[in-house]
Amino acid sequence: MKNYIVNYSSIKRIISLLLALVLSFHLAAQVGKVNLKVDNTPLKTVLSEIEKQSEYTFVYSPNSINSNQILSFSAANEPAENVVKRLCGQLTLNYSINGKQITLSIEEQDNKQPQQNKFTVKGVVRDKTGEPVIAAYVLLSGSNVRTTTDLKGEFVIDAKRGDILEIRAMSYKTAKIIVASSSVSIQLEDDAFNLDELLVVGYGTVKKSDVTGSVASIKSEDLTKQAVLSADQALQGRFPGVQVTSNSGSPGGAVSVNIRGIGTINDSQPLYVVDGMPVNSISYLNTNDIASLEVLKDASASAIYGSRGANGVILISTRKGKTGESKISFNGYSGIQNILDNSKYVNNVQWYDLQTKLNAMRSTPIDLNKANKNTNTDWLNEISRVAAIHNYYVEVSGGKEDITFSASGGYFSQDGIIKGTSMDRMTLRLNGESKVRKYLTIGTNLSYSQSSRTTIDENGESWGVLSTAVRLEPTVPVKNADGSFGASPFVDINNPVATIYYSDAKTKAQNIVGNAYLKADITKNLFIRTSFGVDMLTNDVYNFIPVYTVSPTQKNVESKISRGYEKTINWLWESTINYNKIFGIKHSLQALAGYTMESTRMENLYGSKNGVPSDLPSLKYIDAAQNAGSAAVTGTAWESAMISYLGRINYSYDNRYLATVSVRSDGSSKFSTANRYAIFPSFSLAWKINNEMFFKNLKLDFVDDLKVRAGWGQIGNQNIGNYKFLSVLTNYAQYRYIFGTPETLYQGITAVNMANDKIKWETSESLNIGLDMTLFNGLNVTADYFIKDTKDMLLTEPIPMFLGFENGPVTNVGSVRNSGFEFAATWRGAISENFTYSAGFNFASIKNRVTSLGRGGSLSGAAVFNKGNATNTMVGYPIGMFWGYETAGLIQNQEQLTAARIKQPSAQLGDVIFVDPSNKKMIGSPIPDFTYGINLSCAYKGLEFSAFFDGVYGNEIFNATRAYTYNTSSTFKNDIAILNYWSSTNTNTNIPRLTPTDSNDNMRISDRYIEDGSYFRLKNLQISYNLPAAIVSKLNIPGFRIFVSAQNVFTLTKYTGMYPEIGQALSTSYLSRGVDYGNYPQSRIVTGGISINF
Amino acid sequence: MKKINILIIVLGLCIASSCSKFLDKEMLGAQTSEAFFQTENDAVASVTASYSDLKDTRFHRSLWSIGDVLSDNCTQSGSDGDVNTFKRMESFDYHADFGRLADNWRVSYRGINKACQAIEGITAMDPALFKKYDKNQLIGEAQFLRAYFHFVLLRNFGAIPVIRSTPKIDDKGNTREPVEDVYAFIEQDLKEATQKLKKKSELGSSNSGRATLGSAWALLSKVYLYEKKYTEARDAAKKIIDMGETEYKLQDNFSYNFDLEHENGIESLFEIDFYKSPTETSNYLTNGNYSCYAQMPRPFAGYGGNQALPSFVSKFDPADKRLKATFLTVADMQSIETPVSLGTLEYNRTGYYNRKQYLLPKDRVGTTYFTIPLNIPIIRLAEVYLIYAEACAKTNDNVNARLYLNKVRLRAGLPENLTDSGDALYEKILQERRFELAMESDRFYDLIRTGKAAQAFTDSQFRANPTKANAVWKPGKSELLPIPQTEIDNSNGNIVQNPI
Repeated sequence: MKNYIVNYSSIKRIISLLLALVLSFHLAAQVGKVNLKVDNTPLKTVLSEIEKQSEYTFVYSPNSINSNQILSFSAANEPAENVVKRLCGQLTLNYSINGKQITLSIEEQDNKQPQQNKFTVKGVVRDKTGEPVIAAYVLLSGSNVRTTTDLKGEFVIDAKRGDILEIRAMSYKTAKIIVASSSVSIQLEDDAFNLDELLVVGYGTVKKSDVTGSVASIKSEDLTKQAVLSADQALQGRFPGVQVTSNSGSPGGAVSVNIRGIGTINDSQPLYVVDGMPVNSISYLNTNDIASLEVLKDASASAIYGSRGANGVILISTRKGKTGESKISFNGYSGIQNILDNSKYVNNVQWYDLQTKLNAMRSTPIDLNKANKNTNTDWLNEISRVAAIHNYYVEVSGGKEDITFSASGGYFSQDGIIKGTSMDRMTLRLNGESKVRKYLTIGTNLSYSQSSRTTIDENGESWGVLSTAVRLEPTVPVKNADGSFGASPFVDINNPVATIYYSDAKTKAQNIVGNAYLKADITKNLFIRTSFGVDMLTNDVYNFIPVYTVSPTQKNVESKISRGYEKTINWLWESTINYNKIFGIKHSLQALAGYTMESTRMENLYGSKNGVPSDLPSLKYIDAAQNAGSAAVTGTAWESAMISYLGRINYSYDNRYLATVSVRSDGSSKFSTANRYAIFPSFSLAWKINNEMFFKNLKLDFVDDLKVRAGWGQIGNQNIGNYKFLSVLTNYAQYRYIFGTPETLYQGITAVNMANDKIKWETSESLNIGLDMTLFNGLNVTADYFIKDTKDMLLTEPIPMFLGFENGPVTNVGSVRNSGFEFAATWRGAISENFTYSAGFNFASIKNRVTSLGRGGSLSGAAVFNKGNATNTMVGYPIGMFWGYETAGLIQNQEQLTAARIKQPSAQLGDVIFVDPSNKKMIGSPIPDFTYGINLSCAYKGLEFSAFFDGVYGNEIFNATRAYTYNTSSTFKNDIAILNYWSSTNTNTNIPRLTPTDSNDNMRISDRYIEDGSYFRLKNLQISYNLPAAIVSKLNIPGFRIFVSAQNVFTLTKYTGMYPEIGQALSTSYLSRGVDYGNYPQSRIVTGGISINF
Repeated sequence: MKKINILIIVLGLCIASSCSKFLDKEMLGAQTSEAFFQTENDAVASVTASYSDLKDTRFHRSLWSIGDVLSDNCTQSGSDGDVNTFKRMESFDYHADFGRLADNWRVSYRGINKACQAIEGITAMDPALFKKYDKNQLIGEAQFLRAYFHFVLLRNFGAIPVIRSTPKIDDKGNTREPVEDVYAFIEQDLKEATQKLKKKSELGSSNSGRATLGSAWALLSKVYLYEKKYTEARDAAKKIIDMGETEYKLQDNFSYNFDLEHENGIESLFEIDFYKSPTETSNYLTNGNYSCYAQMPRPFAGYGGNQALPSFVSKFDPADKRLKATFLTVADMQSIETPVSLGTLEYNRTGYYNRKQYLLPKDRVGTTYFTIPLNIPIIRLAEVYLIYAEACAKTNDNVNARLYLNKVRLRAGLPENLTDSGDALYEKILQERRFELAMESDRFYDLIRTGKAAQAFTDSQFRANPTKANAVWKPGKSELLPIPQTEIDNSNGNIVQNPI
């Protein structure tokens, strides 16, 4: 309750700050201009000409209107409406415009009412599905007379014959109708921006135009345009404030998604909810299965997810069937990928030359005769390849009467651009819904996926394939003349080709995600829904290490087989009651109350044994291994549970003011009984300014919609692992000791982590102010400013090493502030009916600051090759900033040398000057100043073209590979930049003198490792062609599309490492972001494919 | 129907609300502190955990990396990369980022923490629970370990935070305590341990490897020596001598102290126990002796890390039997290693490897770098004799000083010293320590303790070694190593760095 009280005052403050409210309107549908000049032409020809030039179609009864009557008529670049009005005037016909349909009728001759007299018009407004449109405005043009439709979509208004009625409703195009009779029926067209698109916002849906929080959505086409395994990868650059970074370019490699900055040092990944089921990862899901994807960015939007939504929520709905003719669709693509690598290293000649020079300086020269001087191995080239990628997908969907269904099957396979890595995945999905009684609907969503991933030790600091490929000298042959693998005669760096060759590691995953739900209408306004879902993940891990010898250090003397199984089951039962009612014509209320229970259990079992007699696949099982003493087995398990109570009210007044209030109370097993429950409220308001009379009077016709919104909310976070409030004892194998003669093994048990039974919920409090606009009937603009404070951050409190615990207690001590600005604009336009185009731009700038770490201390991260830590997290700085010594160029003369030697006693001319060799400083930040995306597309008839660019600006990369590539104290393959080393004749350089000893420790962690990480790239380019209707109809195929797509077409960057997209090498740690240890780089992918609808 | 629906929901909610127990999830697969120290086995396991930090690679590797490599006996060898890691340290241009410092600091304190947990947990237990083990003996062992780890830290860093009980989060702001207070705490722990620990013979062979009464007196005598409390040092060492030769006796063959067959032998007062543990595959977390691997010559699955300087080896009397047992030369290897496995010696920078940490080919079968079972001696009776001799010399008991010096010399096949007394005798005893304890990670501290570092490191023969050419000893600074940089960075100013 404390949270609630504390924040009440801030709520009031915020409310007073805000005038929130919203929007939705639409000017008349875009109407083509008509050019026409006819003499003695039949009416039907004139009408069809107008149809061609406008988007209207004419409907009339041939019995009452003679379409063959001859007339003369002309119009010069005149709006179609005017043309029709004049034409009907000339012919004394009545007409009414219904959406895109114009109905012509004979003017009633028997109408005795003088035209000037008002009469009562009764009308009904429906949408294209025939459902009544509630609370639509009906305005009498040129007057202040207006009314609103009721629950049946009906209205009554007084008007004169010939008056124009304007019908406006949010999410629909405004319709105009000329009053011709006392009874009218209007069908509204969907708005161009689809503002009535229902957004899933958690336990319900809301119209896009009614959203009061910060919510972004992406079209499913944009998700499937890219050749990616998982939808999160396709989100890169799409939304302002949603930063997606691949931690590895490996197929199935981890992706880090951060919504509005890194809110917490704990798990800062968003919550993924698929069809109402929270899931740990969406990599099991085929992107083609996604019908809609929404990102809830601010607290007011995600608060309904309470504890789970602190880092934002990504809501996904999978495809459902629709009543009507069943559809079969197929789409598939195949393509190739190649490595993106900017790095440049010395070749054999340059390497040999450098080593010869270094040898002259070595106290014990190395024997360069051992080097294969004429061998020039490009190790990165040797381990990489042009790799294939495929994706095939079939869906069948449909429905009859009360049953709908959608079923799909998909297969995805991707070979890695680094040899020895690959991934394939098979997915099956079946969604169905049935209205079993008039008041009862049941349904299920069920997905099954099975994947297999082959991996190598890619990022291992010492022996990782990429890291060794970067370091190993070019004179080592991949294989010797006798067929054995080559090895460095000088240094213990593994031959990466051999590492891949002897690597045999696989993970197979099976994932079942499904739920069954029941929805019952209790009354017209009240319904209940209950759903039970399960997410079950089974991982089957396999690893085999054969006996081999490449070098004295790259060898394995006894073969080893390891197998492991891990099963995680999460079940969720949630029940909600919804109440929707419109009071009068101005008050609309939606209320929701719910209860959820959730439980997760994980259990694993790993075993290994040495001495497999041969490499035969049939013998790679534990029982085949013969060294009984080597058998080892481990197994762990954990459980967690949550109970939540939630409630939300959406209220709308007069379609001008919207308010959303939600409250959620969560209880988690991760806290002790006393601190188990916490309450998280949120409020948001929106003001649709353009629905105000005063705004209409301003006659700002170019403004179609204008909505401002503001929200405030608190959300909890409990992603801290289980049992952290308990003092857990550990019996690591390492804690064994041996006593006695003969030797007997004793197991040691101790508490390695400090416990804190007082831990409670971490709270993320965020404030959001936003603006949504539609202008000129084509420009959509969204802008948001937010401040997100993570308070009581559950932090493994930094403790000094002298306390002797491996980890400090998890304590609610930290706070982090992320604040930022997000902007997105989209313009959609048409040059002609056949040529449409759109351009989108998004931009986000996020500032990240640690505002408290409690009782002092800082968090070090990203250990770099024996050189200490590359990052530090301190109050007043961003999370995981780069931390090292500041340099001031090279020692160029005796004077500088004398000065430098005071603090650097072993310095020589040409060594690096360290500004303060005893104090490290912030030397860079992995967090960009801003990120952006640009989306361009155009379509001409069936031909479509789209290009999507993304970029980051102002971040730094800590190029940890320089610990080797800039290091001349061994035989490492150096970066090409090293050739420009300092010498008395080459002083204009920032590369220090050649030294085999580096007695000045030029290689200590400093800003010499820091590089500009900005990049701008053409992320995706696609050209597609829809076969013309004339052809496809002959083939009896409703849709046939072929496309060619390319990803990562080009990247502009100054980064000299392999590729500037650097995530977290150690994927769980936010303290190692932007540190390039030789990370698996990204690839360029070119694919071609087809899409067919039967 | 509708009423039934409502009923279902209402019922559902009621059932759910009664599930408050639903959120009580028990720890699976591990014990919690609340349910520990209930049985004798818990007590043993708790002490065992504290011992385990001794054989943490990071701990024992830091012993020779400082005690030998930084001294005038040895240098870091191995690959260029390995050598360069030590470059600045060997030049006494100390840098606080040097990984071995953090290793030593971190793991020593972990051992202390675990010892505290054991001491407090076992002390609170009912003595009636102990049937097979002795409650006091277990507490005494933990106190010995706590004292030993503090002593290791004290020698490296000087004033350090003293951990007297299991740390609480509020201890986070603790500062370094004066050296005298650290010594006082170490003395107190060891004195208490001598009240609790049993003699090696009482514990029997099934408990070999545990800290005994002898271990505690031996360490206490060494601590007194560092404090220059010679009377106390002499008396403490005498306690061991008085136990008689049935309890402790010099091995007839010096090399028995360093081979697999004679581990925890008659001369041993305390050593770090290793075993061949094939189930662990990390060089950090292994239970095998990674230090031995790191020092063995390169073609034999080693790195050849810690090599003796020719300027030191040449000081040995050629008749000294310890020469062969202390150093391993290429010529030695020709007779020990089969020609096939000998290959070419890579990075043999001085010609002298550490024979005291060397596994014979017959014991290396199927061995990888993490499965070497060879122990590391920490205190031997020979050292106790030399401590006793040094303390006697400093307390004007030249007779006993010579007697115990000569016991060590005689075993080495060297003539007795019958003439020296006073300062000259003291110097001879120090010299003997250097030979007797060579490659046992003690020399650097001896130089500092006796104030002989400046002299040793300006010696021209020493400076002639290529890796020592840049060594500049800074009296008043170089005696103490820098506190690990991360500890300074993270201490919020509470931990002040040593002058570098």
